[in-house]
Amino acid sequence: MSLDSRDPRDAAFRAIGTVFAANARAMLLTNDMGALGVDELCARYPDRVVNAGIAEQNLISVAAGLALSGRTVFTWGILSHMTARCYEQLRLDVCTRALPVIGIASGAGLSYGVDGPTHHGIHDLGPLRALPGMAIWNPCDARIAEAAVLAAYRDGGPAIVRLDKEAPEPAHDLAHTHIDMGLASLRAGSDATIVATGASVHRALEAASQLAREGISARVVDLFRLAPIDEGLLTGVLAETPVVVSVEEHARTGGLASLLAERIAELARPPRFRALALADRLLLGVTTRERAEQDYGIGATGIAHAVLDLLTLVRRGGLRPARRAAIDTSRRVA
Amino acid sequence: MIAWSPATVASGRRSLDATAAWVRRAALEMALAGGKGHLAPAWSWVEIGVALYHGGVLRHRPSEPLWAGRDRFLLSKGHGCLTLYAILADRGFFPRNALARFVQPDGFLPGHPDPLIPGVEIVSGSLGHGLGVGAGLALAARRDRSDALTVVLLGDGECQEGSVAEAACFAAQHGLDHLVAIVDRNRLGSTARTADVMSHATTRARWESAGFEVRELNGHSFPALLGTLSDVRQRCFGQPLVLLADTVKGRGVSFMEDSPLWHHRLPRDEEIELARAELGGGPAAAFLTTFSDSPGVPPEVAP
Repeated sequence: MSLDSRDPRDAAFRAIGTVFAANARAMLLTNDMGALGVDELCARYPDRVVNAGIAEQNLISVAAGLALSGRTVFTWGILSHMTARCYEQLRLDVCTRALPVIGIASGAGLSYGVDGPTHHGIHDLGPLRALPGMAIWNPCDARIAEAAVLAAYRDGGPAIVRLDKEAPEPAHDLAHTHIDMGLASLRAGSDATIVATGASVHRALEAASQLAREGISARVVDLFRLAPIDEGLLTGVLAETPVVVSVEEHARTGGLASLLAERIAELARPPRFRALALADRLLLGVTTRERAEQDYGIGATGIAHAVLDLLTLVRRGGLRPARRAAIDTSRRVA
Repeated sequence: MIAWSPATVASGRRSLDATAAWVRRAALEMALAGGKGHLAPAWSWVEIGVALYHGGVLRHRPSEPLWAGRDRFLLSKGHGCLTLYAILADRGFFPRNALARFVQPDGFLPGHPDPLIPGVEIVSGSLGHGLGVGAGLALAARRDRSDALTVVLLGDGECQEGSVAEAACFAAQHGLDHLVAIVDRNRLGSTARTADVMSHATTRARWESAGFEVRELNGHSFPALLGTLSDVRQRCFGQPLVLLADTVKGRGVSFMEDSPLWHHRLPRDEEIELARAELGGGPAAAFLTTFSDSPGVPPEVAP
């Protein structure tokens, strides 16, 4: 196999190849989007790969029709195109029947940063999280990408796998990460918890190293499946340290920040929480990952600063977070 | 080979015309009982639906709605569901007495169809979905070496949706010759004449240029419908088929016909009895007894 072992997209196609070999009724539809993995699948299974044209609404409807007839259908295209334009087809044609239509989508976050807002994958998580039964996988490396595609296939319902265009060193060791838990602790820590997803996981690990040099012990958790959530596991993660910082390459509304805030709001003793995310706007101009990390504080240094800020707030007076929140409230009332 | 005369393919003892008359009147009573419903767009495709289900076109097993050998019928213009519900109940997919509980909380027939209803394949009501799903079903059927038909009923207003054009081009590209689109061309949208909104959306030329074989016909004529549909299962030329069926929105009640006022309006006050009189079937109490007939026994309605 000539596919790069570190590239999440190649890893996803490796998994699709595994499924194709095992299941003669598995198919792949593309919106005229190429990839080395598509070429290899096409060479081996020419009649099971269909270029459905640059027509994403119809592509998803066709996928639903094929799935209603007993097929598992993978789709391949750019994340922003394969979610927003065909959202109603996902909602009505696919999710109504919980059909096995698995979107393999390239361009999570700012993978295509310099290509402009049409290609940014930063506004899809809110709408996708609202789809009943839609599993959302957001792997940060090739190992999770491959395991996620296989898990999505095994689970049998609608899914989307958001893939990054970069090929980082793997952050996960599958001997320790259990794919079905949907999250994994990548670094232990007792002072603060950094919950990250996608490419931001790597920034969070860098931040934890910086913090360690300052004597701060920060845990790093990768939430690589944003739906469904193992509520018990996630609640445990959020309750373990007095400070929680979330970081994501996604607009502030609807993504990881929203997901965690929804849970934290219901905790009896909530931690101090800060969400690091992109602004709720279209990013016009030439947007590089490096510039976005500086502008929105989602790089390693920004994350480390956020953790230090919150720890300072929590430790001032030695108050537990809930107690401190109560005092803040009474001050405002006075 | 099936002989396609209405007399020989009538369901049980009843003619197709009588069935259509019963379906129209049933739709009226359902809508009145529920206090809402899209009557006029349901009435425009009554003969089309009856030809498909009672005229021997569609393979189906009412006692086994998910029978693997069935043809697929997708009501893409989901707002026309009053007709679909009446036909499915009449065929025995579910008891006719369910019709009296249209859009009522103790019933299972919402204002747009969903697949919880026996005989309904997809959720519809947002327009422009059925032809694409149908293309997927037809592609799967061909790969399974099945001669099953996939029949999709669209409105002509619905053809304004861009996804219909996408699906049409896809179906033609893949030569889905067992996919049959039927356009209920009643020439009215929700509030206006389609000719005044997007006059090119439902032309013969548009479907031909997408790659379809086009047949135009009178969508209220059983001989025309059954004649046009007589070879659909034998067609093997690698080209999908579209029937542009000229119909009248509100067909059956003179003051509701071909008028943009009646897309979602129901008859009220004295209009109700006028409508009942024009549709036939007698006083309401007498007609409603047909809703409790046992399954499979076609109720008689004088057209």
